[in-house]
Amino acid sequence: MTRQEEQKLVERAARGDTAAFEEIVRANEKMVYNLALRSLGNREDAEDAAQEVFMKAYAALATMRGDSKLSVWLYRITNNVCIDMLRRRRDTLSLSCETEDGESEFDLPDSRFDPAAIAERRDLREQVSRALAQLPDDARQIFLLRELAGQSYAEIAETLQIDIGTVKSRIFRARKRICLLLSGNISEESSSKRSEGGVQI
Amino acid sequence: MKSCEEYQELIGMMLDGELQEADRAAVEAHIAACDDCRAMYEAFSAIGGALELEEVSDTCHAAIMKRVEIAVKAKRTQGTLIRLRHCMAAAACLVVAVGTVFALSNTLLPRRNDASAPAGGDARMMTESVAYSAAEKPVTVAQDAAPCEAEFDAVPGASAAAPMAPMAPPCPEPAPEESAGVTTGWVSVRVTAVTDRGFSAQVTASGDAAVAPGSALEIVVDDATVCAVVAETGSEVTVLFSRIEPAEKPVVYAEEIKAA
Repeated sequence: MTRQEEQKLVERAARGDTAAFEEIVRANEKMVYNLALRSLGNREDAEDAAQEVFMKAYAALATMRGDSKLSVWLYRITNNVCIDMLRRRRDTLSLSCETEDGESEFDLPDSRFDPAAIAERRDLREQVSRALAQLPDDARQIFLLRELAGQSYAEIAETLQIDIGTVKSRIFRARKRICLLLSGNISEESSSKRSEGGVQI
Repeated sequence: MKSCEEYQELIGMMLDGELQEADRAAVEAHIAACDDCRAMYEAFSAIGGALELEEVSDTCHAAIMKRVEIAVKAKRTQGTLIRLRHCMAAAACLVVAVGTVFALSNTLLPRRNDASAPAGGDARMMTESVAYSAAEKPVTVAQDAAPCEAEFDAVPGASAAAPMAPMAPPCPEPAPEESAGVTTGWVSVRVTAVTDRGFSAQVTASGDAAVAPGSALEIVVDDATVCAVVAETGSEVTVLFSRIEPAEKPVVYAEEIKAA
């Protein structure tokens, strides 16, 4: 769908055309659901989140600016919904690992690991899923937007409202951290002490 | 000369298609010459390709669209409150106080998509969302009121169990005095089905007494007013959205009834 076609669809949906909005839903629900699933960790919460995302999107259609891609806008709503749900879910306040400029403190510098072994693993999908769940929220979000949603760095920067330099460094650290987790260089205990509420979206 | 750490950051960018051509050539040359960085390139590639997309279930999609439909209807009717007025045909209409709040709020809708919900899940969602609380103010219900003139209009997609009640034109304002032989009590509304064209509702008088079939009711949704006639087969009314006309006079709403 071109940007113009997309914009026309949004305009029709904003005027109450439910068929137009359903087209928007069908074109985007899979990615919204999967982003939520990877963020929240279970299907029930992901389905709830997806419903919430599209309800918020419907309510805010008239405010959607034509200069942003629909996906960027929807993924931003998805991120915010997931963050809200994660915050509500957490019972205890964990240590914030975020520095003032939003960088994670838990990246281990120069830890050795064997990247060659990672690529050869048969259970890689399951391992990556588990490693993802252990990432700090901001690192996981950015990794998902890049690897799952296929967003460019510019689009990720727009979705998360951060600068491109931050996108580059966070993606690199997220990948490296996953490699470390896959290599078992970080224990389960230490990797669970991750950022809980310091995500800046 | 760049360090391996710097090249590894560029490896990620190359995989993401974010490198300029000149830098890409340099990175590829380094990968070819450096075992560690080549392994890193393969690890980053493998990690990126390890994520699979799950399909959205039909029930999830249906739940999304159901919530959107309800939001669309709420927007259309501008309705946060339904008040029933029982009107008499001919000379006077008597005002019946509101029995139920028809609240289309996301917070009231059930979050989970319940696969075991019976058919008419919409009705179940909304009736569970809108509780009827005990009435305290008396209202007037004319048991022998002749129905307003109405025309029958079928609403496709409405609950099969709910026969379509004929619609009545707007009723005149109620006379100040009650008519002889008129009983009083609350009339409650319980929405049973919503379609694209309107909604059906079960109406009952206080003490769960039935409202007389054929009685005319004036239903007020915000500033819009429409008359409906209780179906002959039971205490059911049907309201078409298209029949809702803006009221000429401002309407005073009854106290909002909280959900149970």
